[in-house]
Amino acid sequence: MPERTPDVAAIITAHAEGVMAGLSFRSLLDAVGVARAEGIGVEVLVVLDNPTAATREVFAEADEHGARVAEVSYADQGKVRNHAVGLTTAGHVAFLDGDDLWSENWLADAHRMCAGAPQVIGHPELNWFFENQQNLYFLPDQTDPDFDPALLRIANPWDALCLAPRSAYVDHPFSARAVADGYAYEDWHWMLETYRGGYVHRVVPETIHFKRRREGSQYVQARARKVLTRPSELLDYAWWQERDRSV
Amino acid sequence: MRSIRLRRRPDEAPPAIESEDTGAAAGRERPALARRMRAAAHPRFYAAQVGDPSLADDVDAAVRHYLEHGQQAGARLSGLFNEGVYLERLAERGLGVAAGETPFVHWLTVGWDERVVPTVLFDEAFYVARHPDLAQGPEWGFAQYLRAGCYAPGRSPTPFGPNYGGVPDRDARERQDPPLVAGLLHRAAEFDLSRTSWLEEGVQRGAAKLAGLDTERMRTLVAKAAAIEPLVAQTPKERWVSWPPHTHPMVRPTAAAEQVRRSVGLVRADTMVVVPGGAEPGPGVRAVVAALRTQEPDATVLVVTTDAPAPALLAGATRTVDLSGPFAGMTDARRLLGLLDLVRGLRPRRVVVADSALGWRLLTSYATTLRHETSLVAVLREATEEDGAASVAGDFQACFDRLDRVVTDTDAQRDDLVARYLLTSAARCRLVSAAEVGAHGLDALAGGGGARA
Repeated sequence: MPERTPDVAAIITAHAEGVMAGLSFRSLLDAVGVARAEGIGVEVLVVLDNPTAATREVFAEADEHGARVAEVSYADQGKVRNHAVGLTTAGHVAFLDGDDLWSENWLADAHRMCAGAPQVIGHPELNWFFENQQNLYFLPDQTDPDFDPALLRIANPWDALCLAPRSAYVDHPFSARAVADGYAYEDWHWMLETYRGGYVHRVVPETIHFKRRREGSQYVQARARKVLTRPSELLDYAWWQERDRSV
Repeated sequence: MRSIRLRRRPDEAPPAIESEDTGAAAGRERPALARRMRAAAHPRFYAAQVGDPSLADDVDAAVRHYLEHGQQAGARLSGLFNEGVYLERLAERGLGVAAGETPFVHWLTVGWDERVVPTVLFDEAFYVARHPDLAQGPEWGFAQYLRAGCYAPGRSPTPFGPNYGGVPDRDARERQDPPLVAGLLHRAAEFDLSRTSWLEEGVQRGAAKLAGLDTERMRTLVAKAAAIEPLVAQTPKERWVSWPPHTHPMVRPTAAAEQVRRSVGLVRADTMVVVPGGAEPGPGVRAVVAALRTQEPDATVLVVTTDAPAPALLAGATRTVDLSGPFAGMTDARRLLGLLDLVRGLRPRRVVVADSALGWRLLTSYATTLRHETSLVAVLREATEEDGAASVAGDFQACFDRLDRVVTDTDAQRDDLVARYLLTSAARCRLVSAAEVGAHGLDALAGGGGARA
């Protein structure tokens, strides 16, 4: 019997999180357990990018939890994610950062929403930021009649910790960071490209991502350095004029 | 608790509330009612409902109009009074408004003293917790917010943020035009403003979202995460909630950017000239625009004004778009996003920044990136006593390395920069005067630049 292609690849990426990554891994394994209990085939991948010794140590026995571990040296979250997608043949891919947590229903509920619709990308209903100050960010659903897609030109309403068809990552790989040239926000650019490519960004009701506030995160660094997303047709007024005509 | 309620029969006409200034108010109670009504008035919000722009900047005229017409028509004089919310909250206390009585007047006379907050746009517990100094003050929290807090950029009245504040105009308090009015009037055509608004609907929907966290299902999910990472459930000092498209700080800047995109009527511009507008431009800008007209007569030149509409000299032979209207009341950071949207949306071959503080901010913030997408030119005017040499020098120093050309108003200014900065011959080539642009035309502006769309 040929081995069944996994339905979902649950991928955790880590770098210098140290022992905190253990909490994230535990959260991921809980969500994997819930999904498998619903009959969803889940593959678990750990991708470490220039890991510190402490981070590597956290995943030293990951195979005992059924996880495969890969180590890369990119210092670039987009490239790490692109690499990770290449390691799996699963129909859908879900990423978790090494210091964040999923609500345990995330994989199961998101897969249920996305599995039947080939171009749907699932986002949690709520990003629950913790440490220091609590921010609750309810993510928008682009099918909400009040959602204005022009928001994508001004801000990124979603983030890369979503569950998406593998094809979304293959057709639209994350762009490389080039901070010295003023380009970053690869996840924002990915949202622009997938939106333009016809993917539909939906919210999975009653799901939560718990996100740690980090002063030194790549996002915070990018904001401080005044970088921009790479150019995209979705930033181009010509695209919007065409859209005006078609709507 | 003392009430200043006016005692009248339900079938009586609404009370005639005289201005305190006239001294004609009868009895001891009416001045307080008049004072409160005036303090609560937001004339621009009221004017939008009754369709009379002349009332927008005149508090007393708006109050008079309300008493004579708006009250009977059911218009709202205050953006911080919502009849539906008030009646609901009053009922929770076992109180009501008699038939024929105007709920707004009832609030000013009874509800105020009962400390009933008549709007979803203010959460007293949140506000006082965030601004504990107010607990010692003479006013209740909502009265303080109405009088002063709603004009202060740092005062957030609910966990949903500062009511789409942006920045108040310098005379906003005098005109009683707090930034929240912009949120109340956002997409005004879609709402019956006498009953509700985009801002109030958004906060109400956000509150409903927040209430959803109290379901058994969500509580369980949070508890399970907290069992792994206890910090998840740590009681926060404060909680902020945002939710596009309803309660998110970038919703109004997005709407403004869309307004600009639709009004500009272009999808491409060859050259974009960013100026403050208002005053006549200096010699450097005039030389650049003249060269463009002469040598690229068919090219599209878009003049973008950041602070006031374009002066006639530039408007005559070019396309213009003014950002100051759509982005009025927004922070510089959000205005900058609007300018950036225009630049990246129109993909000009050349961007010329002249005198505009926002334009210079575009260069100092994003020239590293934009130089890969367009040619960047700055026009450096001679320092005036008003802005000082340090300011002009600061702009020059912050950007010169990333600009294809800098145009000075005068030869002397150019020579001074060459001497002061010991510019090499290669760097000197990127510095030209208005006279050189006049003599050599666009050749003087033909910089290296980045890849052009």
